[in-house]
Amino acid sequence: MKPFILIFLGILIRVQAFNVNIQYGFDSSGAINRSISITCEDPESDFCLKECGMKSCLVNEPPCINCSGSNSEILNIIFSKISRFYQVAKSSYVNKKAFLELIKEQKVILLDSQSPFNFFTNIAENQSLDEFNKLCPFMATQAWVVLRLDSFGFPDQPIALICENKDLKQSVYVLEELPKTPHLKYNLN
Amino acid sequence: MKKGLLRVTFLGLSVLSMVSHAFNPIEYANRAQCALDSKNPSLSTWMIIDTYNAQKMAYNYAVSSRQNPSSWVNKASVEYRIAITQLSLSIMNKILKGDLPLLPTDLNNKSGRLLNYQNIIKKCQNILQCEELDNYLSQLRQASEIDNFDKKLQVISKVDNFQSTDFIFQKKSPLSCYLVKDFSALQGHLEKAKPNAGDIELIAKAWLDQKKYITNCFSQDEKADQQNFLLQIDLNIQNLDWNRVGFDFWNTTKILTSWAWRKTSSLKQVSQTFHHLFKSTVLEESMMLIPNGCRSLTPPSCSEETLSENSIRELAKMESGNLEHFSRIPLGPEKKLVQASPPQVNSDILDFGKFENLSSWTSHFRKNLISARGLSKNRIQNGLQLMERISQNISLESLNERLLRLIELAQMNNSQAKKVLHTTCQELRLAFDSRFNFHSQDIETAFKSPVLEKINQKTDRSIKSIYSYAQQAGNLVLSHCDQASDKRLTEVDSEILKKTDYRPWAQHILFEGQPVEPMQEEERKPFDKSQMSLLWNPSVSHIEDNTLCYDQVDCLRSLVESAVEIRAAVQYASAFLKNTGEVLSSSMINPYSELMACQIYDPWIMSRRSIQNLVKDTINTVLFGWNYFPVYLDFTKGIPKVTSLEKIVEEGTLKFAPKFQNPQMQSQLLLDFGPLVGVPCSLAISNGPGAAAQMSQLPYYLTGVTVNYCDSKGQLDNKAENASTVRSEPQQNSNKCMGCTIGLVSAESVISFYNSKAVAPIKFSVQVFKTISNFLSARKDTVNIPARAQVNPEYAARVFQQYSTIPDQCVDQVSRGLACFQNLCAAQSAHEFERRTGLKVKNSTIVPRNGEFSHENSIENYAYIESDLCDGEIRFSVNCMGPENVNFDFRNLMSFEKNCQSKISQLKQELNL
Repeated sequence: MKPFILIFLGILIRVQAFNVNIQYGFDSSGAINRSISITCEDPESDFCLKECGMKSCLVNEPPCINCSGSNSEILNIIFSKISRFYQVAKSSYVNKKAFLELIKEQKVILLDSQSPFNFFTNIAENQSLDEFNKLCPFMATQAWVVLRLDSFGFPDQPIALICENKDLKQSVYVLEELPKTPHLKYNLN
Repeated sequence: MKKGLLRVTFLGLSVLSMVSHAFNPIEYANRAQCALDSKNPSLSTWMIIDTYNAQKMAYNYAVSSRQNPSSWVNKASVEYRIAITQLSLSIMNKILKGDLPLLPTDLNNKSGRLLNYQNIIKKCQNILQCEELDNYLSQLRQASEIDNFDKKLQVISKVDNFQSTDFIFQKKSPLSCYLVKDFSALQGHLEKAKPNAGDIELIAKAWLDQKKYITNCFSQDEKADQQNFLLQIDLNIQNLDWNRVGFDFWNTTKILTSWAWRKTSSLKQVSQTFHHLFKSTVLEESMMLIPNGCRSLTPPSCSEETLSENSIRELAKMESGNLEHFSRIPLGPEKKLVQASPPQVNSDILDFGKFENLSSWTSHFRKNLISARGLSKNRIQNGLQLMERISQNISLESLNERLLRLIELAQMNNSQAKKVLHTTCQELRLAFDSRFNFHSQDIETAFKSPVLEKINQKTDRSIKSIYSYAQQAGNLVLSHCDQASDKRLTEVDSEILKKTDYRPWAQHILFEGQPVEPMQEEERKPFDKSQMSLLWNPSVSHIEDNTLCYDQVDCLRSLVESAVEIRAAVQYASAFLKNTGEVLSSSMINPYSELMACQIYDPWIMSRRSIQNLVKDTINTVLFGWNYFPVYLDFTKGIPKVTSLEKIVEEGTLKFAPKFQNPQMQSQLLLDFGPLVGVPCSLAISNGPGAAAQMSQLPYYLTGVTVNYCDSKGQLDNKAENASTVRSEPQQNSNKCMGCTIGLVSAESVISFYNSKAVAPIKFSVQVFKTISNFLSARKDTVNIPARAQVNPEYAARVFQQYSTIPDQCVDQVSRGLACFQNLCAAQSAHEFERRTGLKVKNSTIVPRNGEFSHENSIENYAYIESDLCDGEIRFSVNCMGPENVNFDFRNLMSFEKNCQSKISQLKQELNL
């Protein structure tokens, strides 16, 4: 598939070094703002400290052009039927550094079930979380799809899925497009 | 900084300071005039703003951040509406004051100078993001910051071949903007072709009580509906040929508004709290422009895009349940256009009056629009996704095998197999069988539509290859169907065949008029339970929603269903799935916009018919009215387009009494009538003293017919004074070309003439009377003869305040967009004075310059004006030569009143006199 796979090439690994989350607040001009917070899970891990410079860092989420509305096919797929088109890569390696770089360079946004850009499912019933859970290897209590933006700031491809368990432990999984074939299931009787 | 995302300032001036409080005159037009007006650019537009996207986003944000959703939703709604308004008005203002150039609408103009622009637009029109266009617009924006025009032009001409004629220069901002709170007589033009005294009174009352109906565009008053807004933006353009630049103005506004929303930091200036979030909104889903009246925002064209955009008006109607846009098998805008009966234009075609208030109308319309757009998009996206998956997983070989198996079972008299064959074959014939051409041609056309390529974001296979697979699969099945049919294997006992054995789209056709029912999942499963299923994701354990189709035949039927759905969606896709990058506009109020563009309606048809009838009747009368010559011309077979008399004789349009039908007669007539036929004619009533005033005292009689007729090269001026006298003269006045005049004088002067001929004067006079009477009646056709009127609400209110009613003598003046004074000339003078000076006129009287007053003829008069300028009258020259022909001369503006004289000097300076 897409070039991003080159960055996420390899095998699946849980990202133990940091947790990500969404924070809501106001910027210096008083405008409301969504930020991605990265918190070092293990204070002893020098990776996270090195990348963040401190125990946690906050990165403003970039605008996602044309994401607020019913216009985007990719957002429709992500929120309402991601499992039909994407799967968790069976053998992928998450390059933690590259992943953090993407967040810091404002090239991705995180989409959860109650995202401001979810115009497609009922947010009160957390329908999209059910859909995300079809891909999470365990029953996640919270999940985020990492959506890459193109060079114009338009939504491009979902590249990863972050699943969080009830103990707030997070795992990151690389997403890849389902092969278009074969999808046939033969009845045995 | 992100690539392609220019963080630049774009607005500059405060928007509030650039908006005036003028309200454009309400323009009335009957059907024919409305059709004609569609070719001209509008000076007034409605902007519908739907804040749903902002509200939904704010709601989600509030829920996620555990805040109070309702306060966030309300705040976001107001800020969003004001942000859109401010940004749009700022861009309009920048164009109107010459900061930004006009971008042409006509991309096919070979002599067009802006070749870079034309090439970029053509290149970008089918792609979602276009860096070249962004860069082009960004350069224009940068140049717009340069104050000195010469320098600006120098810079901008490097971007493209811009010249000073590509700019508009309005000294004073001509923009005004109102938030329409509710419908009132201020939208009276939607219901009437011409206002009467009662209508004008309602306008006056609405204007005086305007707080109830309109308010400032940026008003933040609490309002029941915070989601849907209707703004009226008026342009009071001065000294500019708007017809030359108007369409380009709207085009530039639409393109730049979309661009600036996403690509500049302008949003930050117009939205303090939510600009980060608003930048992500799809602006084009939230706003649209509707010309307020019959004029247009884009040049009407007979194109798929115009037709589908204008079809949006159907979504505004109250009874919108069975709309084409929601139909499984829509006719499509072109067929709908031809098949529909001629629509009305002055009968509230958008059903405003049927709704409780404006808010419920806009809410209903936007709901329908969003539903139709969503349906259209889902049909295409889901359909393509499904078709691609099937085409990649179901080989033609396996489909063939499955069909052979079904045929084998049918041959063994398996009724289930027969039923599957029967329904499958019927659906295939309806959709893909070119021999029957129910929909095969439409489906093929839809799959070639560029709109489809533009929307398709997700499939890896090309639309062409997906459709090619569908065609091959369809042909394969149809060949089996033909054979099965020959062997009577598709014959099914009607008792076991249910409506729900068919897919809903096929039910729609086969069981017309009956409600469509969904096909149950169980009914789709193969009866022999020996086949496979096609899954969306084989690794997902959830069964529900994961199965695309069961067995090859069910998959094929799903594929066909998707093709039919896509075909339905593509019919109106141009309107709903417009590329981001340009705000949608639709000539919703004027259904004759597309009828004119497609040449289905001719606004001059009745004018021409009345004139042609007049010519015909007059000629008949003159030639035969005074004797018993048994020939008459018959133009009643539609509008004759006759190039030679020979042709009308051949066609039987020229008729003879049977006993006179002989070749000699025909050739004689040919000689006499040749130049006369098919010539449009104007009526000139001979000016005896007080002739105009005596119009009602018919009969007037003809002195003769004078037809001025040019040959094909327009070089000769043929005059026919009666049937046998046709002479050619060198053409002296090109205005006479293709025209005729009919001289009428009073009865007394002509009766003696005809009496002396000893013919049949009574018959003649009766026929003349009939002729004129027919003509005048035809000219009174209030629907099909172009007619317009306009009412300035402020003037109407002044008249009403003065008289407490609208006096009959004021109706004509007020219906011409004027206030009411001594006479039309006085009213026109007052209007011109107000227009030029901005000062309110209290009284206006006309005094003839040479002591002899005349309005009708070109005698110069003085207009004496009492105004806010000073206490006393001022005077200037005015030359009133007719209702549409008035000249003003402000150079000799003066006053005998001392207190006015100094003010006049000042005024003259301001007016550069």
